[in-house]
Amino acid sequence: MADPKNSETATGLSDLKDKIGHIPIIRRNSFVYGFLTVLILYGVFLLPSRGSSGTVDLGRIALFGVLLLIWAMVVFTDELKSEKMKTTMVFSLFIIAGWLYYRYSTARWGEMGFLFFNVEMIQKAWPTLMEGFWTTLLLAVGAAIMSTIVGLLLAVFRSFNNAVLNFFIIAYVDFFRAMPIIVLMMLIYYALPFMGISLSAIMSGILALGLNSSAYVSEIFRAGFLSVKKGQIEAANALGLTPIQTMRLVILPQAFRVVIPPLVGNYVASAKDTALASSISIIELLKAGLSQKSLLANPSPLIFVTALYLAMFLPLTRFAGYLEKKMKASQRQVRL
Amino acid sequence: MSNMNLPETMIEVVDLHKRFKDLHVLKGISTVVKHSEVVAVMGPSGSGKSTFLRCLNRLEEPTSGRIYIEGVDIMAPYIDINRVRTEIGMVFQSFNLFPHLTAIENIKLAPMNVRKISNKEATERGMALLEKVGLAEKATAYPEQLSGGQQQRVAIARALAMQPQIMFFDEPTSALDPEMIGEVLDVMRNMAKEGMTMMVVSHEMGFIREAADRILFLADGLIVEDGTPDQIFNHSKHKRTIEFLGKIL
Amino acid sequence: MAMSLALLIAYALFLLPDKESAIPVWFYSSISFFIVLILAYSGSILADREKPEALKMGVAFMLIAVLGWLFHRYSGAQWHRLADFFFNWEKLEGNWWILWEGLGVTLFLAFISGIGSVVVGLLIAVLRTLNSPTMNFFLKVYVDVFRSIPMIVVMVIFFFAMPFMGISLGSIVSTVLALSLGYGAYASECFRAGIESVHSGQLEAARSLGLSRWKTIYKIILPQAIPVVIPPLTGTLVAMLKDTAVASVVAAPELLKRARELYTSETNPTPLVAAALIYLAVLIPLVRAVNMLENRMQKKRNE
Ligand SMILES: Nc1ncnc2c1ncn2[C@@H]1O[C@H](COP(=O)(O)OP(=O)(O)OP(=O)(O)O)[C@@H](O)[C@H]1O
Ligand SMILES: [Mg+2]
Repeated sequence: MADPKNSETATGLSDLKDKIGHIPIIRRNSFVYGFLTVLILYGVFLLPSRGSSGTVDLGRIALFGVLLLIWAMVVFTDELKSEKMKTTMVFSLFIIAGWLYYRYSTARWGEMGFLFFNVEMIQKAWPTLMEGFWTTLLLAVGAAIMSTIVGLLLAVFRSFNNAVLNFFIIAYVDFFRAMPIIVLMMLIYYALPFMGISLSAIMSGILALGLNSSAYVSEIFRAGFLSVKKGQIEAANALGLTPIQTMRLVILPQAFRVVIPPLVGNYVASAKDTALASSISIIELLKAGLSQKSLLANPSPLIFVTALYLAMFLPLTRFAGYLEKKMKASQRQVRL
Repeated sequence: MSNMNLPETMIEVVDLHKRFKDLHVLKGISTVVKHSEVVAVMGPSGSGKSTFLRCLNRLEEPTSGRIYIEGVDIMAPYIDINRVRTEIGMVFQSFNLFPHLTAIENIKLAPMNVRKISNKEATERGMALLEKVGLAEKATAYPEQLSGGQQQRVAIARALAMQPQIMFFDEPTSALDPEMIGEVLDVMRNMAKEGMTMMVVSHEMGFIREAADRILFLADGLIVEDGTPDQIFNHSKHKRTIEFLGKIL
Repeated sequence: MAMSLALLIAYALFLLPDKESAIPVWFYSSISFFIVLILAYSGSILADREKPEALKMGVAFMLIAVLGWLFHRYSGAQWHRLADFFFNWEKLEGNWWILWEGLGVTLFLAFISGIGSVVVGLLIAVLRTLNSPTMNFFLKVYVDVFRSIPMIVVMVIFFFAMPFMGISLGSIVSTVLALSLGYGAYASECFRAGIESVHSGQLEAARSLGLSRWKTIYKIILPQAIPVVIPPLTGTLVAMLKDTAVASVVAAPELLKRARELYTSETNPTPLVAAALIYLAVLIPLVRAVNMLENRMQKKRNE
């Protein structure tokens, strides 16, 4: 143990002063600025001119990028660097990366606005896109309704713990959870007609999404039912409630609180999956964007559609995440 | 008891402030801790004792003020705080042993990765320390297989393995069952006898009376009183101190 | 009980519409009502603790049989065509290698994108532990954006829109990039949850011993976080494997795409059915494994 007077293992007191206060070179501010100077000199003198594309030139550009990243990493991983420095760093990185891309990519920059953010094209595509939007909504709502009904039924019958039914229900759930939705859609839309079952594209889409989602919904409800403690059911029995009453008055209200957050998450995921319906020629949002892209030979509608998806699902995803967090927090409170 | 004649100052704190957003927790603390001194820090809950200790090795970044360890300003921008921390061992209320490592691995981790000593040497040193805290036979046990008192002793051994100049203890016994408090305090008492500089947040009156050279009494982020155990326990004139001592006695 | 059963049978015999009933409203509502009744009837028996187990078994079998019979009767399925069009293995003779090749591409895509998404996810999660508000803002935007846009849209953008920018990636690279970036966002959330599950005291203990940030992450946080991360991460990766089928949209020659080509050239859906069966054979065990991992995790947490 550290006895300053007579222990060989203890570090001598006088050493302490030497030991403290020497940070590795890489952590010093002077290093950061030095590196920056090197980078700037490199950028000015060593970067190839625009339009050149030899291997050596490409190598030089790549090396520049790597050095830039190393420099940024050095700053970012250092907790003692000020936040202001880091913020400046992020923005300068973006600017430099953008500039590099601007300078060396073969993109036709003059046409950027025309190509990607062409309001006129979007206006032309607007009616189709709106129709697509309503179709997407129809698919999402249809699938949600179907999956809720089927999923709830499956979960209720599963809770009866009957071996025969459970076998079928588990097979159903495994089947639809393992099957990629797009494969299911194609089976329903392209294969089923061969055996005499012809469904419209929309119906096929809703059915595929609904079947897939119902498997997840049933698992969610099952978890909800299981979360209701055994004691609750016993207490209900002791009170003389019938099984139906127990379900309606005791189990469901408690289960619903556990079930809501993952359920919302599942509906959002399922709504995102409606984009897959574009593969069976349903003119939903994505397909509308794609067809208009081909028709107008301009990707603006596609970009607009992407923006629309973002605008719809970003809040929804966040909301689902928020619900889940809230549930976890309340659970934690209960446990404490 | 520690040697009071050593003139050298180990820790010097000047006007230390710490704010969490609106909450002003430390409102200007200044004190000096000498070599081999054992300083107990007392005070009501929420008075900032933990924050004070954690500021001293910058686990918590102080808002303002100066901290000198061995005369070195550890708030200076060029300071490598990891180096400073190797000189300050810290023991927590909740032990904080690494659950995925055995007792001896817990102890070896920092010496091997920070001090870069060999596995063999680290093992030897670790076993010696386990011997010292009376747990040599538990070297290969995982934390969950140890009692609270044993865990805390391993945690002390882990801190000592870095051969620190200073040891901080933040309520080391308050998460322990009463029958285990003694074994931990014994280890600490021995350390004090061997001349370790220690700062101990604790309300174990017996231990403080016997082992501490000084008591800092904190209330509302300020040092209300600073004196020997005898002065504080028996002759205090401060209302806050008397009130507090009345409560815990 | 017996009465209700008799009523149900009477309903089935007299009130259920013919196969080609004239009025669709009556057709659908009558069948739906019958299904509701049969479900309610069997449910009430199955839920009753007093009823003997044998009766419940009988009811369960009856329920399955009745549902099957309804499907058989009303779906309009022509069962005799099943062998010709769904399981006509002759059509696949000499063509199996195409499907196996497709499966190979599927697994390849999944493997590379799996590595990609784990790397992206881990990188994001580790960068987030550095707690720089600026950095976190951008990382959060990244994660939110990729979790909000359907994967198929990301692939389509990479494949159909990027060429307009002078970046032609090709179908394989587009897919790998889209899956890696997209599932990287999901993976980062798994990692983050794992990292957050490590108690902050662990961090403090490590830092107070003088371990650097990196050593703390590498030696203390990750070893404790990984076991927590494994179940949700496996789930994410299995979901990603499923999503490789979407790559058929951008013409990546994976299983579904190859099966569709065969389907078109043979004008017979057997290849599609075969592809679906292959997907199931690969994915059902994986889905079950994920389930098991999650259950085990749940149990551990409840202990
Ligand atoms: N990270 C933090 N963020 C915001 N407030 C904090 C933080 N850490 C501590 N505080 C607040 O600072 C005050 C002092 O806390 P501190 O833990 O230092 O008190 P203490 O004297 O150690 O109390 P105790 O005896 O209960 O451990 C408390 O009011 C606490 O709520
Ligand atoms: Mg405290």
